[in-house]
Amino acid sequence: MLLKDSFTINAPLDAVWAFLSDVPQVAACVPGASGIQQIGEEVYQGKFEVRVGPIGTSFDGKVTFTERIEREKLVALIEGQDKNSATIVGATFTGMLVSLEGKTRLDYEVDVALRGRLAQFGVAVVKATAKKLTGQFAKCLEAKLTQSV
Amino acid sequence: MIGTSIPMLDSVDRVKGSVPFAVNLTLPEMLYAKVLRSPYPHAHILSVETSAAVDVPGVVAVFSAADAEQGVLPGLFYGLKMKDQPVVARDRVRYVGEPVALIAAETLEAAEEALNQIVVEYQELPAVYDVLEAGEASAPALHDDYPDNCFVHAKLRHGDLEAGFAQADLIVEETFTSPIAQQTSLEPHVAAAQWQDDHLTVWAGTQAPYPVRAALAELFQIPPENVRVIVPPLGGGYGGKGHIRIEPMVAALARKTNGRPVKLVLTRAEEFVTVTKHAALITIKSGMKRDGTFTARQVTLHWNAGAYADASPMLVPAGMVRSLGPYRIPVAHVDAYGIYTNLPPAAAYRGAMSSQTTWAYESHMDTLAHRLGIDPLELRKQTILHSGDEFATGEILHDVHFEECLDAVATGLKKQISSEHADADYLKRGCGVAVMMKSTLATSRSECRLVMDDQGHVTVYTSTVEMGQGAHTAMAQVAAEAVGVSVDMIRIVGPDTDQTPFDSTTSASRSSNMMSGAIASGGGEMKRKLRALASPLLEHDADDLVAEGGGVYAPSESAERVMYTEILQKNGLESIDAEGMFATKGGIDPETGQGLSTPHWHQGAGACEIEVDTETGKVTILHYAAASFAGRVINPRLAELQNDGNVVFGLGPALLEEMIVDHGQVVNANLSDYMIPSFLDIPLDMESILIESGEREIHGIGEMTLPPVAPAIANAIYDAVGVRITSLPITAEKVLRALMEKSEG
Repeated sequence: MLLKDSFTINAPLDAVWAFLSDVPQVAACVPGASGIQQIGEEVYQGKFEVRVGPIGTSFDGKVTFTERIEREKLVALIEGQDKNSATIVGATFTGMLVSLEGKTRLDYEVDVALRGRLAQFGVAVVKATAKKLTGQFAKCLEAKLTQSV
Repeated sequence: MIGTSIPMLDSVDRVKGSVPFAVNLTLPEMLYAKVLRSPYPHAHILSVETSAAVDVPGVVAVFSAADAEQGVLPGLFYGLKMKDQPVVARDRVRYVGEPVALIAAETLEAAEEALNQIVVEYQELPAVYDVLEAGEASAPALHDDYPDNCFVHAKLRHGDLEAGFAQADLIVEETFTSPIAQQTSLEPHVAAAQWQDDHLTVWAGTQAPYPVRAALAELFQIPPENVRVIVPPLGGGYGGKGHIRIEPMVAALARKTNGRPVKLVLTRAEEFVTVTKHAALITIKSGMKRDGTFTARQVTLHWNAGAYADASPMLVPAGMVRSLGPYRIPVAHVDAYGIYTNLPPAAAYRGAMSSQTTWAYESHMDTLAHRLGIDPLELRKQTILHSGDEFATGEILHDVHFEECLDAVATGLKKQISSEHADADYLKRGCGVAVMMKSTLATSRSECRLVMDDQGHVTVYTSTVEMGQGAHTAMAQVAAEAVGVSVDMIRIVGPDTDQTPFDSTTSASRSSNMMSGAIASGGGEMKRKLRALASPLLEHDADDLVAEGGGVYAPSESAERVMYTEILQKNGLESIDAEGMFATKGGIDPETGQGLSTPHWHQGAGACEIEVDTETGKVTILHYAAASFAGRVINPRLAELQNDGNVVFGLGPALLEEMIVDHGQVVNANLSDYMIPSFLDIPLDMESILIESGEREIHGIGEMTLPPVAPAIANAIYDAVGVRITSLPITAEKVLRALMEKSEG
């Protein structure tokens, strides 16, 4: 499943890039994320709780940053497992930053392989959840950046 | 009797909801089974750790491939022709949803809890889902014996293809696709199993009791007589229950429960990963003369079989002869490939393979007609096959009535269509027609046993499966006529392999023909016995006597008649019995496709008027006429319902149904995201036409009006708005996109 979207943050590109490079800060904006720890140079592990439709899930997962192009592009591999819903997720996140007269647009693409019970709920539910979470993340990101300016 | 519309024997039970479906079966001391399934489309299994699952309270047995090695199962693999499918995966999984371990527990909750306690370590492998990609050198091989993933290649060679195309004034090549889809029987797959020493009893929702018995006997290496298969009424089958499927898992698990029975009922999500309709990629190329005669046709079919061969080694060659259409084509070459991919296994789907091939050859037929400037119905009629014509397999056709089917639907549609026009400019109307020809099993056998008691009741022991199609009602009508009693004197028993004789399968629309033939022969035998027993009573030679109307008499002396009951009583007999059998034999050469592919051809047609909303792409079926060739109708009402049911069923693959697979995972494995037709989708007007012939041979009609639905609609869309849709389902999105592309020129 390919999730593709973009959102614009009312902050300059440099500030957004600096924020995105600080993983604990990013994690603080991800709804449901907790216990983020760095376990390798570009590898982080943690917990991610989310409700998808009627199911509450708790993924134990790992994020590995595989590509960083300064102020431009970020690629990360995400792997996670939720034992209760017998679901495994594997995803490749690609984010691109575009400067727009003092604002910054983040275009992202996530190629998600969701397998197990959660996947059976259908793409529509999963996509709607992803959209909601992204919206919350963007809001949080903007709030933090505008506070700090 | 034959020809009357009696209600189904169990109609009251159906209305009351008291039909004893397998899904409702309970047995004393019964345990509940659950299946642990692979989350990966392709992976090595590094380890399976089940010890924590065994400790879950209520768990009685856990089964994994390790048990097979310890002798619970002598062999792990089964399959119809190719034994490539493990009961549970051992060292490798090949699709998301493949069984890896089984639990039997006192409750479903305990079984589910135990599933979560099994730890399986996988190492993911590259996977392939597309039939063409599966053939590339870079693609992973699913089975070591088939490096290019092609495990069956059926060929038909009839005439010189190059010379045929050289004679053509027009050559047209098109490609059509049909996605993987679901048989969607309302009742899911169900099986229960119980062992007593080396005797196995299985209660199974299957269309094929005897093949299931044979397969289980082979798998467990016990004599077939030690396996008893009992089949309760099915809540639908549609081919999805046509072959051995979940029974080996349940029987293997039951081996570890100390004689307690185990029952497995699949969830709807599990249904989606248990059996599918083959996805098909069909390229069809035709050479035509300007006057509309064929010079040659070449068809290439790629069937996506999923991870295991299942029924494909039989269905791919069958689909080959079902891919040409009922036309006079002097030169024909067909190549049909069965390809492994990392998807759930595919098998028969109502109108097996014809549902996909008719979509291709009948859509293509309209393209040819438009390119030649000939009316599509006329082009069909001028090239249609008639009795006495030779088909591309070399067989001479008999009792074929394709033209009558076409005429009937064309007339039927005309009657429905009024002169009124669409309500608005953006609504465009059009008409389309399609015809189909389908083979049945070339070699198969049906047997039955009839027992008459001294009260004149006749019990018919038959392994024909009642799955809502009304087979047992039809068999009762045939038996009543064959024995010469009223239908209320007939009782149907079966299937139960300890009681009811052999039958190949209830599929391929064969029962009305084959089991009727067996019952007719059994009835004849019973009448012969009755005449012989009546001979001394009537003081006439048995050969001079007639048995009918519940009695035996000598036609020369009309007055005296001795009733069947009296014959038994006077001879001091509690009952008499008779056996009946009907068998066919045929087959085609695997290298050339020449031979006898079927004892007779299934024939059907459909015509419709549709309306396209050009602003949204939505297609509405306004009128539909469907015809099938029945030879001789047993029960007109039930036969009409088969025709209607097929049309409604066919609207699903035509307009709605497609399993969506993402990285090997089916993501619409439920009936809210995977849409099947509802009452609101049924056309406003529907007409069902049954065609009989002078030969009076009873033909099956379980599938004939389904395959024409999709191409008839596609042809009507072309007629309405001039766009040709080549991939199923015909969604509003596809129609709208095609309209936009057309207007952009």
